[in-house]
Amino acid sequence: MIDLVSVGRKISTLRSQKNLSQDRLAETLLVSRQAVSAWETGKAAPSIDNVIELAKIFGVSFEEILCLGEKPVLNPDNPFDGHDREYVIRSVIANEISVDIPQLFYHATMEERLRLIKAAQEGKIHLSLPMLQDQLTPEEMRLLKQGGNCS
Amino acid sequence: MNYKAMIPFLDEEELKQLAQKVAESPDGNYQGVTYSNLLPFLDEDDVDMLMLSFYRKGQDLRHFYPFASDEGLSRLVDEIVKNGNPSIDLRGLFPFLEDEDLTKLLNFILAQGGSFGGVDGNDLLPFLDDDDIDKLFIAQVKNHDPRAKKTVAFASEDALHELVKEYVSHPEADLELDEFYPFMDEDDVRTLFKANLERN
Repeated sequence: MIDLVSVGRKISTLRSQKNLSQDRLAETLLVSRQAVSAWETGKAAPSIDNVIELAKIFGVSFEEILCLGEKPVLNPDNPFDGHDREYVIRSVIANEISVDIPQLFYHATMEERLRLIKAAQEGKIHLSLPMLQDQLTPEEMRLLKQGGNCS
Repeated sequence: MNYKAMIPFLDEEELKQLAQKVAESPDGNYQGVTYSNLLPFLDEDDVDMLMLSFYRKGQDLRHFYPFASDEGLSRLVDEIVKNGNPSIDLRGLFPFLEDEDLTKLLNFILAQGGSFGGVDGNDLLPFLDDDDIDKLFIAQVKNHDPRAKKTVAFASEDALHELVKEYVSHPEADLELDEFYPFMDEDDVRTLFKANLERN
């Protein structure tokens, strides 16, 4: 799972180090400046070919551009802060990152909360009912109690 | 005779005969009695019979689904798959189907090229189990179906792994994975990018 926000930060940093403007980089890659901007803000992922080209231009590996093997530093007050939301949710469900679950629930959308509850129902993650009971709606509480991996 | 007012007082056999007459009428109306008047009073077998006869006539079935039996709904799915009558609204049917029938319907929709009668595989997403979601996603990617961009959020890493394996071992398959690598695990991302580098 790739954290597009971190990838965007990396591209922006490497571009600045090479003294390239977004326009100049876009011209070199034959894409629009808006595309480069979308990559740098984590709103879109560069294509595979573009990642490989970016690696050549910046003189780094594709692994570095994609932040592979890097442990994300999460803000304990808001695990979504500075990261791709999908990345955070998927990584929590895959037990690849550990976060403060009540804080995660506090900042999660309804859909994200349901995905976490579904993951608990399927035994993929563990949710502590006493820690979450102040935050859960009655419907979420009922769902979580239905065979969920919770205590 | 006002049949409608008599419905609550009819016995099972009389209700069945009335249902038969409604089913046989060309417009689904027998002396002011329609199927929606009868449904709450019929037993499941009669609801199933009425529903199937309405399906064959291409009429609206939405009111039948909550009253039909699982077996009746399964027979309906079999008929849809066999005859492919696209005139009925399948969306209303999905929440009432068992997993096995949903799988049957999904396979049918995929065999029709990904959509049928105004619905596509993604309309089934909230009702599918994980294996069927993966099957749908893989089929969409292989068919270059743009709906795969929405399905990927629900697909498992196993499905993405399958696609990477296919990308590596069958370069001629022309798989387009640009949109999906952010959802893959790191090992698959590495494998995919290395395969791409070797190709170019």
